Order: sequence, then C-alpha cells, then structure tokens
Amino acid sequence: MIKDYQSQKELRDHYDVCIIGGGPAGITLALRLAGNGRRVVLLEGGGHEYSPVSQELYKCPSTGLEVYAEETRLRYLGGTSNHWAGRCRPFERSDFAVGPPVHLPGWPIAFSEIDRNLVAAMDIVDLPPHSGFKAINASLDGDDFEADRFLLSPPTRFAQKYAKELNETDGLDVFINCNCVDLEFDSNTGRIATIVVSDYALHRERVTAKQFILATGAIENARQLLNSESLAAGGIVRKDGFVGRCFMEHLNVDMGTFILKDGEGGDVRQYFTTDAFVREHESGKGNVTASLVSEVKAYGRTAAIKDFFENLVCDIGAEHKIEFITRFDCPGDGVLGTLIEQFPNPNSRVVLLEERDALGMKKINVHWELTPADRNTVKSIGLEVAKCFAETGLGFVKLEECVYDVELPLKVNPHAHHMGTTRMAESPEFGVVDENCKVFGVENLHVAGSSVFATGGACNPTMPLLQLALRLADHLNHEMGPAVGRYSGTGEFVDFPS
Amino acid sequence: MQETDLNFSVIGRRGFLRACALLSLGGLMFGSAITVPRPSAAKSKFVVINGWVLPAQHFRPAQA
Repeated sequence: MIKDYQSQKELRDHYDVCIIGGGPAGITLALRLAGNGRRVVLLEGGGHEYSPVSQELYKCPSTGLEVYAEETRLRYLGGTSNHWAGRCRPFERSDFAVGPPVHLPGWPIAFSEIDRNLVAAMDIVDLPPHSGFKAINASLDGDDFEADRFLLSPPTRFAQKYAKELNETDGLDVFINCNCVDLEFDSNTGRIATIVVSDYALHRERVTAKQFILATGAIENARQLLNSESLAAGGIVRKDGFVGRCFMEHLNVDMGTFILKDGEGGDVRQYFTTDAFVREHESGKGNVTASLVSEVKAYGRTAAIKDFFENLVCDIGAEHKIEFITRFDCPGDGVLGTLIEQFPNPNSRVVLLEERDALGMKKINVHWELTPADRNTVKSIGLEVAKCFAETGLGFVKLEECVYDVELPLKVNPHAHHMGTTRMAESPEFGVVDENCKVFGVENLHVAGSSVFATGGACNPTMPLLQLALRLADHLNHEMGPAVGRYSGTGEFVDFPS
Repeated sequence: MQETDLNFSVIGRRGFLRACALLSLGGLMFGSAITVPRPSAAKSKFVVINGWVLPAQHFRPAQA
C-alpha cells in the first residue's frame, strides 16, 4: 500500500528490510524482497509528482566541471526513471576482467555475477528477453571500433509501471514524502539500529528494521553516509575513506564535426571502442555517435567554407560578396557526440558542507574533475575515429582543438550518469561496500544503485544497476533465511500479523 | 568581366575537399600541422591541420 507520510503516520514497529529511495533500484528491491515474503518498507522522500519543495533538497553547488545535479535527477516516486531516455547497453566481460589504468582496483566480482541477472533486468525495463542488443549501422573497418549495440526501453517509468504492485504486494509498505534524515549506528552491535525519517513539517520518527538499504542515487547515497554523525563516530565513515570519493560520469564531449564523401548519406551511426583499442591506447571505453545535421549554419563544412571564401573574396577585392557568404548555409555535415568512460578518481568527490537544508541535513558539494588518463581516452577516441573515417573512405573529421591538445580545457558535459561514490571493493582500503554491496564495518547496511560501480564502462547505468539490485535481493533473501512469497517458488504468501 | 561564382552547388563537396587539402597543405608548410602516426606500424600516418585529421600521404614532407 502506498501511503503519504505527510498525513499518514502509520509506520510499523519493525520491518525485515527498510529501503531508502523509491527509484528504479529501490522499487526493484522492494518488490523482490516483499515478493519473497519479507516485510518491507520503501521510503520515498518525494511525492507522486514533481514538487519544488522536494526537488529543492537536491540542490547542491559543484566545483570543477558542472554536474547539473539538481537538474538531472528527479526526487519523487520512480526517481530519475521519470525522465530517463531508456537507452540500455550492458556491461561487458572486459569491464570486470580488466582494472582501470589508475591506482585503484576494478570490480571485485566476476562478470558472471552481474550477467546472470541480465534477462531479468531486461524484463524490468520492458526489453524483449533473449533478443540480443542490436547495432543500427555497420562497424567501421579495422580493429578499433565496432558498431555499438544497444536496445531502447519504452522507456519504463517505474512508478507508473509498478504502481499496482507497489499498492498491492503483501508485506510491502510504501511511504511517500518520507525523508530519511539520519542513519543511527550502534557501535556496540556494529549495526544500524534505526533511521530517522521526517515529513515536510519536520515531524520526525524512527524506523527499525533488520536490514537497511540505501537506494537514493550516487550523490545522495554518499550524502546519507557522510551526514550520519554516529557512522563517523564509529569510524565507519572517515575523512580519508572512500565515502563520496570517485564520483564518475560518462563524458559527453563535443568531439567536432565531419563531412561525408559523396554518396555517404544516412542516419545516425553509433560506434563503440573494441577491447583491442582499449588495450592499445590504455584508455577507457567509449561510444561515438555520428549525427547528420540537416542545416549547418556556423560550424563544420559551412564554417570552413565561409572562412575560406571570406579570405578569398578579400584577396581578390570582391568584399561586396561577403554579405552573400554570411547568408550561405549548406546541409549534410554532421557532429560527433560521445559517451566516454571516466576512470575512478578519489579527488572527484561529494563533500559535506556546514550549511543545512530545510530538513536539517547537511548540504553537499560535488567536485568533478578529469585526470590525464581521462584526457588520454578522449584524445585517443577522437583521433582514432577520425582516422577511421578517412581510412574507410567515409569522410573527414574536424576535431575540436581541446580534444587533441590536452593542455586546453576540455568542453565536456555530463550524461547524468552518477557513479562510484560508494564503490565496491575487496577491502575498505579501496572502497565503501563489499562484494555483496554491504557497507564495510556495518552488518546490516547495504547500498544499491550505480554508486557501487567500481568502474563505469561506457554503458548506460540503469539496466546494470538493476542487475546488481536483483543480485542484492537474492543475497539478502539468502541471508535472512526461508520465507514464502511470489518470488520464492511456492506461489503462496506468508500471512503477516498486523 | 564575369563575376567570381561563389555558389556552393558549383563548388561542390569535392571542390571543398580540394580546397581543404590546399589550405591544409599551406598550414603544413607554415608549421601548424601535427603528425599523428597510428599506434600500429601497419596503419597509415595522419596529420592534424586546424583540427582536420587527414592522411599524411597527401602532404609534402615538412623537410621537402
């Protein structure tokens, strides 16, 4: 049943599992765990729809590169799935087999650990199971780039699709307008004893559960951990620790423009780096999307022609033709966009500020920066895709100067893929959660979502984070022992006493 | 006297590419080109001139 905590203070005394955050990961976990017979509460800070009061709580400054944190995430039931585009590309075996070329380890789990939940995750986001991920164009000749393979979800809006299940699943309580404002750690037991929730009138209450799961997105997951004074006092969250560090994005770089040779028309083309390319260049992975632009006014071929002719008419004394040239536009050029892997970097991080929000939680700053390794990835992909264009006779590429001159500031935008702030590792020396997404040092606190990504590859994170959420649900079900529910194989529900 | 025709449909794409190559050659001679060999020895070399990534084989060696 979905209840509004603003008016319905009907939390039970105790739950098996308390999930904080009603986005794709939180909803998936709630339905899986309740469906296995657990008594679950799902706490969503926002309401059924967008509201400025809730969204305001996402406001945070950023330093370094602009993250656009508030603009890219949505703080209401369904989370950011309420405006995601639906592109799905899974992690590859090589994402797990090869660590990043920086002084941090990669994933501590095998590819099979996530791959086994691929079909179930595809089903969740309404992709046809077993259909395979498809290319929309041919590969580029050579060993460097293959055609990118992906599928498009409708896209699935989690709150709408799962509204009936959220309302009717036995054992599941969903509270909207219910904000977690503190995690209370008991250092004697090594467990989260309770969490504190608040409505928008600052009415506070404690929630007790056997297990707690943070599923509030990569920025807020880190913020919840950093904000807890008891976790800091217990030595779980340390200033030199990894909580909030290694914030990663996918790099949306305006690589430049291209001109196609005669007869080379067509639609959008998407290419993806091969493992051989990554090995050869010691780079990250990346998607390059070549889009034709129907009318080009100020860049690409048009700009080059204008520049050329302007100089020419001046040289030959025909300056009166300049006005004609400035009105001159031509179709057919294209632009190169990217989705490029960024390596984990401890200096890109979420940091707690002294200022507090309307609910009394400390605000955060997001500092996002690129490293020389990231610049190498961008440069390598830019130069090599340009060479492939020329070598294969496709056309010619004009790169932005900042792509190949790494001394210049790179013009880069985010893809709203926030990752890495509670990264998974074998030990707290290199991360925040262990192989089972459990926070190091806390027996009953787990993290879901792309904040646990050790590396981000160049795949869209929604489907992979669902794969990990399903894996976490399996783990917790196993850990909590036998129960009966729709996903546990008996087809019957446990009858819970009220 | 006939005016210079600046209509793109006459110049065409190939015309532009030729112009681009000429401009690039000029850039190369004045030292603004960067030679970027592909990592694999079997692959061809390229030059970057004003951002254009072009096959080096079309350009005169810098010392010539």
